[in-house]
Formats: sequence, C-alpha cells, structure tokens
Amino acid sequence: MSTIKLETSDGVKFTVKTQVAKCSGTIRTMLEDIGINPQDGEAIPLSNVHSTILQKILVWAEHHVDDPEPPREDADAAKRTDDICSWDEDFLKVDQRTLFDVMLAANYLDMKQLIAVCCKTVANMIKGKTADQIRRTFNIENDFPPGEEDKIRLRNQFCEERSR
Amino acid sequence: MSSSTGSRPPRQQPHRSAKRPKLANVHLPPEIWEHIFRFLPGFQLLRLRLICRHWNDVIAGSASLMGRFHFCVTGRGRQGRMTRDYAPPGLNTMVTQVVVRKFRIEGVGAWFRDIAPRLTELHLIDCDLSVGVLFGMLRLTLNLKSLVLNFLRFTGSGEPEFRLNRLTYLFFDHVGDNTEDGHHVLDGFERMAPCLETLDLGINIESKKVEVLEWIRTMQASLRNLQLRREPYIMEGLCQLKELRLTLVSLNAIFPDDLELWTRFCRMQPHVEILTITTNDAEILAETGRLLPKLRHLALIVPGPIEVSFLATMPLLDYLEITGSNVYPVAKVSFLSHSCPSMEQFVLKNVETKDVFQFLYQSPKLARMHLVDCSLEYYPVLYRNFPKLISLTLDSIRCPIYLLDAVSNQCPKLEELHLFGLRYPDDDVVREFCKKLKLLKKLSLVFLRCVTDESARYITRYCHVLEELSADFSDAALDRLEATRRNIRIKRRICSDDEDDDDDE
Repeated sequence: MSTIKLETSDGVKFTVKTQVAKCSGTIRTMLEDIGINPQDGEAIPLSNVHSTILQKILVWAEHHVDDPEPPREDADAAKRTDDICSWDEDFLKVDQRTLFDVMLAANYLDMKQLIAVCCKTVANMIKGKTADQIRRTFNIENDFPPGEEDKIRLRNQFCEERSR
Repeated sequence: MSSSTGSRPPRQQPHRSAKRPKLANVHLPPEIWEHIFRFLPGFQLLRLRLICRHWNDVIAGSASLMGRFHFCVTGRGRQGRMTRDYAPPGLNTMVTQVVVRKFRIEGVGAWFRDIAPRLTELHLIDCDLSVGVLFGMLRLTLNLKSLVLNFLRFTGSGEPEFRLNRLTYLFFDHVGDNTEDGHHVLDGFERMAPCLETLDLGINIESKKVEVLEWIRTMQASLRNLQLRREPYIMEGLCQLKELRLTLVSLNAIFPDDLELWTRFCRMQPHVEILTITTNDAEILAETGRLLPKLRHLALIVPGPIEVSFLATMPLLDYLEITGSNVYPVAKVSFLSHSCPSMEQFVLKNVETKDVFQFLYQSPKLARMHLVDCSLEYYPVLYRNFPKLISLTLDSIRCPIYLLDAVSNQCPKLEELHLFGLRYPDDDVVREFCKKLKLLKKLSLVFLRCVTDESARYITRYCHVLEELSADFSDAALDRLEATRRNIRIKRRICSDDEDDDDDE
C-alpha cells in the first residue's frame, strides 16, 4: 500500500497511507492536480499544522477512511446536531483549545466531514445556554458599548434593509 | 511514525496544551463560525448576535443565517397594497423577526397569522394603515418583545383590548409625518404594553403629555431606558416618581436654561449610565457629571460652541460622542488641555475643531474612533501613538493630508479602517497603510476621488489578514481580487431599490 510523508510546522515527519492522507482535500489536490509525486520520498509541508494536532487528525482519518460521501444538504435549513457518532463524540472530548486547533487544521486541510462534526460539537456547546454562559464558555468579551445592544440590533437591521 | 488504529479513540495524551489555558482564545475565522451557527435554530441565532461584535458580524453578513429568523418584505409605497390575499414570496415560516416596509396595509392574511405567535420582533416602517389593522396584527403577536413603528401614517382609531405582556421594547417615531394626527394611536398603549424596559418616543408628545406620564408611572418598576422629546411637564412629573430607576436617558430636545429642574431630575436618577442630551452649556454638563456618578456613556448634541471642561466631573466615561446640530451653524468644539482618560470610543460629527488630536492622545484606552463631517486641524506629533486603536472611520472630513500618514504610522493595532468621501488619499497613501497596518481585517475605500484600481493590487499584495472589503474599484479589479484572495468578503455597492422607489413616489 502506498504511503506519503507529511511534514508539520514543527518539523515532525509523518508517514501516512496515501488513502488516509486523501481524506484531506488539500492534500488530494496537491497529489492529483499539481502532480506531486509521493514516490520521491519528499515530505509535503503542512506549515499551518502542529504535529500534536496532525497526529490527532490522522487518528480520525484512519477511522473514517472508508466512510461513504455524505448526501448534500440544504444549506439554509437548520441541521441536526444529535447525529454525532459515539466514536467521534469520544474523540472530541478534548479541551477547547485543542478542539479549535483541530478545527483550524481541518479547515486548512479541507476535511469537510471532520469540520462538520467539530462544528456540531461546538454548536452543542452553545445550545440552550444563556448569553453569559456562552461568553464564559468561549471566553468572549461582550464588546458592545453598554446598553447599546438593542440599538445595534436595530441599526443592523436598518442597514440590512438599505443594502437590499 | 504512523497513526494507530483501533475501535476506540486512544486516551488523551498530555501534550503541549496541558500547560496552556484550557479556554481557547483562538480566533476562528468567520467561515467556521458561520458553519457552526448553521447547526443552530433561528431563535437562538437572534440571541447570538448580542454575544459580541464578531458573532454579530458573522450572522448579519450571512444571507442564509439571517433568512432563518429574519424576514423583510418591501412594497412599492402607496401603490403597494397589502390585502388579506397577499402572500409574501420566500417566507420561511420559522422566522421570529419581521420587517414590513412601504406598504399600504389594508389587512394581513394567513401568512401573518401563521408566524405571528412566534414573532418576537416586528417593525413597520414607512407604511399607511389604520389603527384597527395595527391592533388586528398586534392581537396575534402575543410573544412580541420588540416593536418598532417608524414613518407610519395612521387613519382611524381603535382601542386595544389585549395585552402584550412580553413587550419590553417600543420605538415609536415619525408618525403621521410628525403632526399631531395619528398620535391618538397611543391611546390604550399604556394598557396594551404595561411592562416596557425601553420606551423610545421620538414624536412630539405635547398633546399626550398627561397620558404618557401616567403610562411611565405605571411601569416604573420595569422601565430602565427612556428616550423622549424633552417636555417640562413630563420632566416635572418624572421628578415625582420615586420607584423609577433609569439607566439610559435620552432627551431629544434643546436644553433650555432651567438648571434647577434638570438637577432635580438627576438627583432622582443617580443610576443613569447612558445619557443623550442636547446642550452646549458646560456648566450644566459639569453639574450633570457630579450628580450622575455612574455615567459611562455620553452623547452630546451641541447647538453652539462648547469647551469640554465638564469632562473633569465624568471620570468613568468610556464613550463620548459630540454631534453638531443640523439646525444651527457648525459648532466649534474646544478640547484645549482637557482629557478623558477612560475613553474607549470617540465619535465626533458635524463640528469644527482645532485641537481634537492633542485631546485624543490623552486617552490611552481609545479603541474606536469615528470622525464624520468635521473640519479638523491636525498637527503631527510624531512620537505619539494610539496604542489600542482598533477601528477608525474617517467620513467626509476636511483635514490636512498628513492626518492620513499618521494613520499608517501611529495606529499599530488598527484592524478596521473605513474611509469615505475624502479628497486626499491616493494610491500612494493606500499603499503606505496597506504595508504598515499588518493587522487590518476590514477596509472600506468608498467615494475617494484619487483612489484607483491600482490600490486593489496593493491590497492583494500587502493585506494578508484582510477579511472584508468595501471599495469603489471597477468590477474587473474586484473580480481579480476575489479570485486571488478567496477569504476576503467583498461588499460591492448595490444599486438599491429604495432609490427607484423614491423616484416613483
């Protein structure tokens, strides 16, 4: 079975089954469109991904390598978040920093299924919480001027109408 | 090294994140937040807009997310009749916010009855309707929290025989072209809306002052934000209300010299944090600062010249806005050696000033600055910076050209720069700030006489973290930019339908 080498931002080299690496749209494009030849033994540089995160992502890719393509969904409708499989649920039981790092890397690597399952996990962290709980969960500062929230909401709407 | 396989994910290995804080302060890009928000229901998106600016921008900027809870239907002015048979195109029945504009509303049909029980926010703007039809609509919206009635022309009269117990926000302005006609629609509002937190009445309430005061009296317990045209009878009455605890006060009128009444009012309302007031009397303002120790946010409309000496009595102020009145000649504002040390936001509109920058250098926390329609003098002070300035808007200001050089040299943290209607900046200036402002995320270059498509190239070359751009470049230049820098959201100028409508009318 063919393998390729990947090199992370901190200089760690991974040898990965080509099929697993192709879970990443970015790597797939590099191999197929740009024609990088994996037999050359040269590592593909992934300058935005740290080794700890890539290792995690490869575990996920290995597990999901045989998954069928998901059906296309209606982008405008609210989607379900209760259909995360239990393996993924366990896999994503990590601290928030790691979760966000995985998302950034998955975004860079163009791994749609992994992004979707991470986004569902974050959406579940938002669901049913009050504004204050949400701010605490994500360490967000309320940067609206005091008492301006209503005004901002209204003003946004007016802008919106004008731009239509 | 190869990845391990197994039916269960491996135990978490302690890695470098163990030493780092558990909370992520990582900045996820807007497209990821948008993706996350797509998994949430419309009513929650509405609340997420109030979490922080960034989330609000993400949601407001996404047509597919907005369409989930927000629906706007626009008619064709007086020719656009909305009858019982009307069905608006493209309605998502799960919406919770509805805006109806430019219709002659003669009745609302099944579409409104379907969505009404879920509605939390309703705006009627620039419509003709009878009071009976209005109450017919509101009778169905029993969960309404926020009601905006703006530029409406009413006919007839009616009495609401229902209560909107959840209504906390009411905005009511420009009704019946601001004549007394149509104000009778307010009859019965005190029964219909008994527990408002915010009452914003922009209309002239002179003929309704007794009723309005009585209404305020009955909702003393809930009312926190009050915006009224100032009226001595009401002021006098408000001074008698012992239970009223306002935090936001906006008095939308020229302040006469009745200092005594005003100081009595301030003594009764020591919790006021946000104040909008029209006066250019520094003495009255200094007294106001002394009587309102919690004041954090001041928006001042100045009908004449003023010196900002009063700021010494307002040590907590983090927002200062000074606007010249449209009705009077342009006001001169003198900042001299006064300072506002806690200030984080500064807005200056329609005034003339010579010394504003010397004043602003004294505010080390200044993060957002908006200068609109002003004449400014600027003397370069090379060694001074605006160390925390994140957002700067310069809109139709008259100023010396070196102010724009200062922007690139003195604002190291700038993330948002909005330039509108300026004569000076040319492509060279744009190149300078594209090169030097490394953190720039949002940029507007609109109505700039000397900026050409050349600037689009500098943006492509130097603005690496740019997320949003509004510019008057040619379509070809914008297309090129869009193709090379996919992560930039480009807002193109759209020829608005509004203008067509206005021509018709």
